[in-house]
Amino acid sequence: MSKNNYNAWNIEPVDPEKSSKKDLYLNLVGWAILAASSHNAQPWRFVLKPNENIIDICVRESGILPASDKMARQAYISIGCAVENLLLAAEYYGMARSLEYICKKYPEPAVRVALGQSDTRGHGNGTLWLDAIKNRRMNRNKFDPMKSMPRETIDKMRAAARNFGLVLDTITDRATRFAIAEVQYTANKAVVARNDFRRELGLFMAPNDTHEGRVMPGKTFGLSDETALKIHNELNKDGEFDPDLAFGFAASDRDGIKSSSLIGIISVSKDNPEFWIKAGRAFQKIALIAESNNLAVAVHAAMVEVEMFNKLLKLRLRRSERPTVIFRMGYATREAPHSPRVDIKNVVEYM
Amino acid sequence: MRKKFYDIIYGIMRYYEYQNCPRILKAKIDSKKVFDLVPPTIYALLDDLVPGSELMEDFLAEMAKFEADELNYGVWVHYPGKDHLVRFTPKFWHRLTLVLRNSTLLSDPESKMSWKDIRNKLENSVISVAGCSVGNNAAHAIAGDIRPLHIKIADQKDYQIHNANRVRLNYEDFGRNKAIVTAEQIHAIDPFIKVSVYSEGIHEKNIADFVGGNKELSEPVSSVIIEETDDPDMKILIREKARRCGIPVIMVSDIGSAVQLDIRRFDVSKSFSLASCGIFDEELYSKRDKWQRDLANRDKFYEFAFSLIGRNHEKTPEFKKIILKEAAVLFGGVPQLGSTAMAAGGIAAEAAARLLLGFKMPERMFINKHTGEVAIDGEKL
Repeated sequence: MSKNNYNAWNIEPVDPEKSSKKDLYLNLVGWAILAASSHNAQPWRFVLKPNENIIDICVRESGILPASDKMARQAYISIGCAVENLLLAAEYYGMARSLEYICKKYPEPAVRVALGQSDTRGHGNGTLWLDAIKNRRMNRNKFDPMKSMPRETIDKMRAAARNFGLVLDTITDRATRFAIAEVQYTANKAVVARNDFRRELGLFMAPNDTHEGRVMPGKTFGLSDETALKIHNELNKDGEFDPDLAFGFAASDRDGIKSSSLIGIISVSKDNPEFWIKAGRAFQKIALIAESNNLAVAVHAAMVEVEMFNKLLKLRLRRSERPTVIFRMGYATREAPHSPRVDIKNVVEYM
Repeated sequence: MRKKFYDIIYGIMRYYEYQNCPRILKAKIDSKKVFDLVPPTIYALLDDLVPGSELMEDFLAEMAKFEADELNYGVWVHYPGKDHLVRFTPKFWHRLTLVLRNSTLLSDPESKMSWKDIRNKLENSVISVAGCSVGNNAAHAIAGDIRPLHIKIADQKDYQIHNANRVRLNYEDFGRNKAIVTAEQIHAIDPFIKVSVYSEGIHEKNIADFVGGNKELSEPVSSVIIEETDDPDMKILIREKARRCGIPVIMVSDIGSAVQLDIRRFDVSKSFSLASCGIFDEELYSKRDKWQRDLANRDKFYEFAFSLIGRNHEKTPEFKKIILKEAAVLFGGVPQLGSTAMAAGGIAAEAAARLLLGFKMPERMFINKHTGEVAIDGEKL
């Protein structure tokens, strides 16, 4: 990866005994920013307080997407993903850690992580999680529907969700997967119908040769240079949106779900920022479990954020908890590239 | 005496019954008999409307109303026959969903009219269908393509099981009046269409209302008549009345594997003969009268029929053999293939739409779906 906007993926662990606390904390943030985020908006800001042994992870107001994330739910979920990466990196360094959910917006923290001294004798997983963090990427291609998920992997994912006090429904039967695929299709049609959503998406759907950090290049959707540019331009123009593109946008997610071995739905008992962060943490952990088991993952947010479809899904699952993170998982038929990241210097401040 | 008078005229009025007094519903409807079409209509419109278009913007505003007050949104319709309660989206959105996939396939000859103007024209037309065998297929095709706000349907007979080879029916329909069943089928998907049901068929006493309307009964004038009766007198009566009123008549005939479309443009001229392609009224009446004097004579019946529809049946060997009794006689009536009846209904609907939109149409069109042969006769009017 030669462009600057992909440099973040070149991160390596540091030697804690040879690094200052400031550099060690910066390294932790380096792992955190490789987390998944809605629209790759990377809504986080990290306030490093090495003298207090604290890292505050904040939600940037500007990182909350007004059209697709009215409640800031996706932003907090993204924060949760970053928090989980940070904690796993801290675990690698054997740093004791504790977590406080504050759930405010920048300059106040969403999550405060308190860290102890590093102790490399403490971590038993080696670089397992760090490797998974580095290799993880969203794969929006179709998966191999003929391959089913190993039971033990599903059990690990359920355990991960339970750790956060959340519910994970794992759907493997074809009929339900197909039904959910259709709900996702219509939910996508509902969001792409809106001018504000399209305009907002247009800010983040970028041509493949982009130098930006906070975008989703077309190639991360499996799009050619030409198509990526066309979609970028179409989303950014006024007036009618090409209905074929609208159909393609909706159908690709639908077909992706149909091709997946498993649909995972993380539901929360309380629809508030603390639980959204936990859902993000659970999802990130699950995504890393998947990565370490050669499984691909993609997320579908439309069914979460469009209330009508969320209720439909809730009914289908027969749950009182609210579906909050919906993902599909399976064996990739095509590799997907990484998404770019903003320079770490732009998301960190010291106090 | 005075109290008795009031009881008769106004019904029994007790002191605690006043105007607009609330009435508690005694009948309970099982939830299995409640159907909600609002979400599927919303999904269909989200699927079909173009993002960023005026219609989509209007629809998103409508969707916001639904999301703001889901329980009170929409129109509830009770179907008393099955005691079903169905929730529809408001009329405009429900009917839009039903025509959206037609897109702009029906346009005017010069493609100058906007989609809205075309919908306005078609919606406000009144299509009248006499005869509900092929007519049932025509009525459904008309509802699908044209979706007018008013349809008239006439047939005095009941559906029998042997009609099921060419009409979509289920077990509940047999033994029931064809016009009523057809109306119910149309209403099952669109309760907003007014359907005038002529369950006595067309006769001398109601022909004027069927063709020319009746203001007192809020019965509109027909815009186009689809004539699918099998009664020769009725065929002539409808044409005579339509000619006097200047209303076009479309007839589709199924001839084995072929469909023949006959159009009489009485809206263009009230001096046209009743039958197309050069048959004068005198010949038509004469052949009708000859047959009526000898009703058991099948040959005379066919002579009358051929004076109305010509002799294109000679291009369909199987049909011709049956008519001329050169093939084994399986049953004693005029044979009809279901696929031909369905095609005929579709062709009738297309013709009706094109007439309404101002197209010139040939007097006669013959389409053989087996051989692919197409023949056009007469003038283009």
